Parts: sequence; C-alpha cells; structure tokens
Amino acid sequence: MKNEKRSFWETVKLFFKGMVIDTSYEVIEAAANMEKDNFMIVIFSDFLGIPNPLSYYTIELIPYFGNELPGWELRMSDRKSVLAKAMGEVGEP
Amino acid sequence: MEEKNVFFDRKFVFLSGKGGVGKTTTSSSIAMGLSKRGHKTLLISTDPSHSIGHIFEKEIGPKERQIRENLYGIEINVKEESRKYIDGILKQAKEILSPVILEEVKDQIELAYHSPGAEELALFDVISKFFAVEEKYDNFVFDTAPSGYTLRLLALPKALNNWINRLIKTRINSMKVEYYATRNPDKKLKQKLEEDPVLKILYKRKEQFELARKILLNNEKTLFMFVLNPERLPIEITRDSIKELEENKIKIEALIINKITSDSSPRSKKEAEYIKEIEKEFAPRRIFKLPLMPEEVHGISSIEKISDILFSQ
Repeated sequence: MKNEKRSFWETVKLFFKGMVIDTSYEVIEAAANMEKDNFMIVIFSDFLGIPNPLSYYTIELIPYFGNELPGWELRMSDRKSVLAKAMGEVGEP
Repeated sequence: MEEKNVFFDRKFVFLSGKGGVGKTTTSSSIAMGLSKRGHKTLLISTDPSHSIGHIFEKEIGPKERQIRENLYGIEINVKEESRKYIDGILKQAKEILSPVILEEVKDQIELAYHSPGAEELALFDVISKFFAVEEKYDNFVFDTAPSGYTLRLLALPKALNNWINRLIKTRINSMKVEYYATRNPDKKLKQKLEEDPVLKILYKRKEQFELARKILLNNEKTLFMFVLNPERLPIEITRDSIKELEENKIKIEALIINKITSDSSPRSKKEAEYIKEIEKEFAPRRIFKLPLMPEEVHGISSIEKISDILFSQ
C-alpha cells in the first residue's frame, strides 16, 4: 500500500519534471547555442565574408571554437534553420 | 635651460618620421644623453636591420643588453615576434582541434599574419610589453612609434574599449546560459568563468588596451616627437601626420630637424628657409636642430657628439 503510494508520487513528480524542467532545459540550450553563435560571428566573420579589422587579435580564440565551426557554418548559411530556431524559441503558432 | 627637462621627466619617448630621416640616430642620442646624466635608460629599436647594433658597434639582439653605464639596448624584429604569435596559436589549435577542422582554420590563422593592420598591431604588442615593466628603467626611448592607425584605435574609447567589453560580456553571458542548460554541472559557474581560456585572453587584451591608453594619452609620462629633414616633402608629411594625431588627442610636443647643412651652398640657403617655415608653422612646439654630420654616424663617440648638441639646446 505504502509502496504503491510512493510510486504514484514518483510518477506525478516525473510528469511535472518532464513537462516543466526538461522542456525549459531545451529552451535554455537553444539560447546557449544562440549566444555562442553570436560570439563566433566575431571570431569567424571572415568565413561569412565580413572582413574583421582586428582578426590579428581574434585568431587567438580560434582554437577554442574550431570544433564547433562546422555546425556553426551550417546554421549561419542555412537560413531556414535559423528561422526554424527562432520559431522554436517563440513557439510555433 | 628649464625646457631641457622635456626628455628627463618623460618615461616613454617615441620618435616618428619617415624612413631615412634619422630616427635611429636621434633616438640613440637621446638615450645616450639620458644615460650620461644618470638615468637608467633602455633604447628600443624595431628596425629589422639591427641598426643600433651598428651604431654602438656591439651585437645587441632581442634581449636587453648593456651598452655602457646606465644605457641598455634591445632590438626587436616585429615580423619575427608576429611569427611567434601565429605559431603559438597554430600549436594550440593542433592540440585542441580535430585534424579536419584544423585544416579549415589553419588558413584563416595564417591569413591573419598577412592581413592589413597585422604589422601595426604586432608592433603595438611589442611596444606595450614595455608598459607593463615600466619600473625597470627610468626612461624608455623607442626609435619608432605606434602607427597612426593604432593610436587612433586607442584614442577612440568607442573603438577598442567597447569592442573588447562587448566581447567579454557576450562570452560571460554565453557561459552563463550554457551553465544553466547543463543538468549536472561539474563546477560552479564562478569557477568556470575563472578558468575559461577565452575570457583569460579577452581580459589580457583589455588590460593591454587600458594600460596603453593610460600611458600613450598621458603627456606627462609620454613624449611623441617627429624627426624630419629640412626639405619640402618631409614638412608636408609631418604637417599631415601631426594634424591627424592631434585630432585624436595625441600631442606631438617636439620636433627634431635633422641633417641640417651649414655651408654657403644654395641647398643650405633653401634649408634655412625651410627651417624658418618649420619654426613658424609648428610653434609653440619645442624644436631641436641637428647638423648633418661630416662623417657617417658610427660608434659611441659620434653618438655622444650628437647627444651633446641635442642636450645643449
């Protein structure tokens, strides 16, 4: 009887955790990627065809962002995905 | 006599001017004069042809070396320093990045070495290293100056300061959000921010810009001089350069007219006219005059001679 009760609360907890926390993590994750993308624009602007007058200084940061370069380039060049991302953030109508 | 102090009470002396006007000779003479009057002085040359070594008949090189009592010299090849910086980044990239990505970013890193402005920023790195160790010498004399481009960047707080501050802010923000998105973070956010290599680099740059700005724009500490010859073109160039720098709050307080001939030739007569023009045009700036030496400037004794002329004015 006691066991049953606990597992019921367990289920309820899990339900709310899934509903509130997990989805919010997703939103935050998306926001985190967006922030990182913004920062990477400064470092890799040359890849987008935007000349950077201080590239002599920003190249120092390349080693720490290089591994995320392929994904970033894809997101930057694929407008649809940027739009989709924006939609995801606002929530689809 | 009172005005002579212009060299003594400035920690940093920078000489500007076109190639060949005699920046190395005059900077050597200023450093020599200071050292002879008991100031521990470092003469810094960025001329790749080891010119202060030739002048003092001594091998000097990229490490500080004593030339005579109280006088030290260092020769820095800016291109080599820049190469070292790029190679350091490439090495770091090799350690962190996958080979495929390394190939992709390698070109970008390499390209920055040749990018417009790179040489000027490299020179700025070389110069600003001395700002951090200013207590080591009484005076620092540079045979060069940060380029007009660099000075402009520093003089405009909106340019460099805002740029670096915004980068730092974006990075911190990005790390914060990333931290909140991590379900079981292994470290506290504060610790993560402290250990972040990206923030470390950004803070180092910020510090460098702030210190350089504080020193270069402080005309109680720093003296900018122009070296020119009594000829039409150098006067025009000097006028334009001074105007441009002073628009950006960099004061040029003194000029050295170098290689003045004094005989009865028509050249000498013309030079006298130019000197008058310089004195009128650039007043009230301090103007020093140096004669064209009868022999090539070479050896400690000839530098001493020029230094005596300079310090007696």
